[in-house]
Amino acid sequence: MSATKTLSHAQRVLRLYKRSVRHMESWIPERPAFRYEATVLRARFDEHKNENDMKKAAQILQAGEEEFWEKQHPQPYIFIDSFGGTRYERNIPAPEWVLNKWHPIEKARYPYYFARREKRIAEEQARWDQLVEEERQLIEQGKLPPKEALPS
Amino acid sequence: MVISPSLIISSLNLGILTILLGSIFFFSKSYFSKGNVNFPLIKTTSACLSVNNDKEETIEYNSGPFAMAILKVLAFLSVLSLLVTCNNSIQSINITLSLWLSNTPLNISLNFIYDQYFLVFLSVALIVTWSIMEFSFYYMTEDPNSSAFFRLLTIFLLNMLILTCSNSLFLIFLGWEGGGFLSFLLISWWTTRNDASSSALEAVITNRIGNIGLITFMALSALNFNSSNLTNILSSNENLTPLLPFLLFGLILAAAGKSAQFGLHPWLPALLEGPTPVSALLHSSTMVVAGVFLLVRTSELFSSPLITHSLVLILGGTTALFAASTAIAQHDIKKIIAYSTTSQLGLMVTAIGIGQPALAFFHICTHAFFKAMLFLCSGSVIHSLSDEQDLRKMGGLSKLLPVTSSCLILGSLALMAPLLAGFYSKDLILEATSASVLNLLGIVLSIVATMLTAVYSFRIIFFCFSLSPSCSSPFSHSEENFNLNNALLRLATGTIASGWFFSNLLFAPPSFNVTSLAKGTPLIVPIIGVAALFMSLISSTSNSIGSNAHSATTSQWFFVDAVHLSIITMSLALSFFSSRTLDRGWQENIGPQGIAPTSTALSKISQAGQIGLIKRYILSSMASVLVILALSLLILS
Amino acid sequence: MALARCARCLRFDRFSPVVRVSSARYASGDVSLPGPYPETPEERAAAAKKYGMRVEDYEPYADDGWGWGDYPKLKKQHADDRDPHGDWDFPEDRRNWGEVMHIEQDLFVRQRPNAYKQNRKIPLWKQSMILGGILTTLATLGILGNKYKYFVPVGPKQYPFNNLYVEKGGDPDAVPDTPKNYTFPTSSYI
Repeated sequence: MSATKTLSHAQRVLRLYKRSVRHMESWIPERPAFRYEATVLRARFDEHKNENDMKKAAQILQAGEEEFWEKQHPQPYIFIDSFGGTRYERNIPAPEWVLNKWHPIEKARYPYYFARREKRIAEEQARWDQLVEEERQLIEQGKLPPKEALPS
Repeated sequence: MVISPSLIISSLNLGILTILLGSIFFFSKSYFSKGNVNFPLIKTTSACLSVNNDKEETIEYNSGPFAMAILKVLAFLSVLSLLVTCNNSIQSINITLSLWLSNTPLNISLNFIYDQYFLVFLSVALIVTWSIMEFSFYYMTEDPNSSAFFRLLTIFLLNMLILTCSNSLFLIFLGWEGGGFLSFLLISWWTTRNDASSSALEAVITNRIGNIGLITFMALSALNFNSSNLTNILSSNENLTPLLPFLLFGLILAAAGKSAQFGLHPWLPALLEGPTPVSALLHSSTMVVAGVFLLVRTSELFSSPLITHSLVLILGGTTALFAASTAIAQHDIKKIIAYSTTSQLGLMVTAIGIGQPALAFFHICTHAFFKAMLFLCSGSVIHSLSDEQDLRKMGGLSKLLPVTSSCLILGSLALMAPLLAGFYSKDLILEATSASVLNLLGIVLSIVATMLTAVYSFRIIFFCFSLSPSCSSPFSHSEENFNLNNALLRLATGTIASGWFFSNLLFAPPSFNVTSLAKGTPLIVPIIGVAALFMSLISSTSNSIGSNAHSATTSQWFFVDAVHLSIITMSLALSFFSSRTLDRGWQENIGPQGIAPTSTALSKISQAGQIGLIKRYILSSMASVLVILALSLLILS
Repeated sequence: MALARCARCLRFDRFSPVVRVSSARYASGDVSLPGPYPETPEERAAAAKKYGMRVEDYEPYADDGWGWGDYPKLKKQHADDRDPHGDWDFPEDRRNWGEVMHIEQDLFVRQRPNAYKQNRKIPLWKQSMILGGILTTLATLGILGNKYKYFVPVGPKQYPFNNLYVEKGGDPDAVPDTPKNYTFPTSSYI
């Protein structure tokens, strides 16, 4: 819901590690060299994994985040389907209700499809009404708690 | 009736335009299919509702083969007309079809000019577009609406041809605007994608700035030469008018907007939001060279003032350097090729600046082949990796995509290796630049840009083919596709042969008096560039200056953000200022808001006199007569 | 979360008549936005409640005649800088239902370029300095290059036999005088 989130220390460390490895992957295109550097990076993280002093751990994390900020890649690799990627949001299928808005002339071009569709819609509506009616009766009989009214 | 070569040429070319215009109306499926064709929307939604409409006969119709066939025929026709021209050494044919708008003093008519520039351009554009159509039939098969795509490409090509062949400025403007609009539609092809629609907006708005330049040119030439006819304007003797600098400024602005020169360049990488065939078509032979082509057409206007020459030279050189330096740090394969296009456009404008429009045009023609081929190669790689565009996820592709990789290497070498297309023209432009006396900076910029050309070309080859495979997805497509291979190999033939063909058979390239050092520069400089690339690949950029420079090149010299922010801030400040001083200031006092209280006060004063006393009325009329008399006496004496 | 649930309900319930749902943040419909500028602390508190904000966070625009009334000053945040994976009611706009928008919201939608990017690695002033530095250098070099020329001086090419007069199609009967392209230095010792 809200965009502001509070992260725990462990979450921050995990995110720092993941981002560092990803940016390192962007810096080093050659796979074997990257694997070596990633192992070294993992060792640096593992060095402090048993740190119990919270104050010291926070300092180390702070230093790590600053180091990441300095060494980040100006053009990191983005997966194609995630935000900013090259295939993000491409060809999202049109929602199905668009067909409800078609003009009768357009609908007349696909008579079988729309005949069946009208039938399905009517069935779905009937089923919905039936469910609502059942629920209402259950509430009246006291088997279900009454619904809170939606704010007007 | 004697059949003269000029008659053949003009009828062939008019036929090509007419067929292209007519074919647009026949792309729709209803002309070809008898059964009921399913819309893609129905297909997906019927899957949702699991409706089995087996009673309907479904025919998959795609207009791709139709478009390919049309363009193939037209390409052969255009080559035929080009050959007729070569044989008969015809300079230019000027035909007027009919009066378009008759009631104007300018006599706006459908006026076409078929000179060597247009005929060569026509053949190149048609061959390249034919290959791109064929490629897009391979590339766009999975797109839900691919049939409409071919129609848009064809309309775009038609607009481009109108722009290049027309002699009337109004027709040129028609093609110019049509190209801009179609590019908008093509960039925002994936309409659900937010980045695509904003990029399309960016492109169309930047093109509007260029259009302001073209409209300035049209208006001033109508004012100056009283004609909308390009031939009349160029042959007019009234060249040295005080309005000439503004005319040239309009032209340069128009060309800079359309050909993405530095300052108006950001829309060119934004074009990449469209599918790869769109980038190939718009970047290689059509859209972006329209500005340079306009400058080539009007190059006679650039004859006298030297300061404009220097301006164009520096503009082109800056663009070339900027684009090349940006290209070396990009990681998106299409972006590298796009910036390479910008760099080559800069080189073309440089050639215009030193007064060699024929060389610029030569470069347009050779550039079309290898740049289209590079884009198609990148499209093939992207398609094979299921839409992966990042260079870092490629590698080791030479075994998997042999045709594509050899074509990619060929296209990269085309700018560097002798005997390939790009080298002929680039070599000549560099020689001409070093022989010119205009500005030393232009020479330096173009040489540095050439060096960087080698760097980014080799970078693509290095990342694509020499590293180990690091793609995240398995190969979904192979390149064993008839359409893809045909298109690539046709353009590869063009890349190998077009330079030799054009320079030996069509143009007579001028020779320049240059030192042997300058002669060797185009050959030596790329070698230095490649060496620099390998040096930079082994050394890392760890110091702060290095990382700043790296960021500067990856983010395009920080141009975009600074300009966006300054434009927003300036326009907001201006509108606040005008709102405060005009809408709520002067308009309140003396504008419509101020007139009402003023007139009320005036009528109240005059009302005070209307109290029904005859003596006062007589007195006031006497006074006014006396005043009039006194005034007339004063004036007469 | 209640809102998101409501929205999901609405989306699911495609065929039932549209239910009018109002925001939990402020009463909709009868309240016209913005209201008059709040003068007293009580009015401020009421306005803050209307916009669903804490009183400490609420800060209206100055009452300088723009007619912005009690509309709150909000942070300039472009939609691109919002969490793309967040649980938004309208994920394509990255906005929640009934959320108070910035007064210049049209600058911050995703269709506009993001000029308000937070947390740049290289700050904006430094970016402008680098860009300005490059352009100034180029301009200076261009002016200098216009002033000091560099070129290889060449003259027209000279040919023997009277500059190939006859070979170039001149009239052989009227051969002009041979142009003297060079002279030998005369020695002073002879």
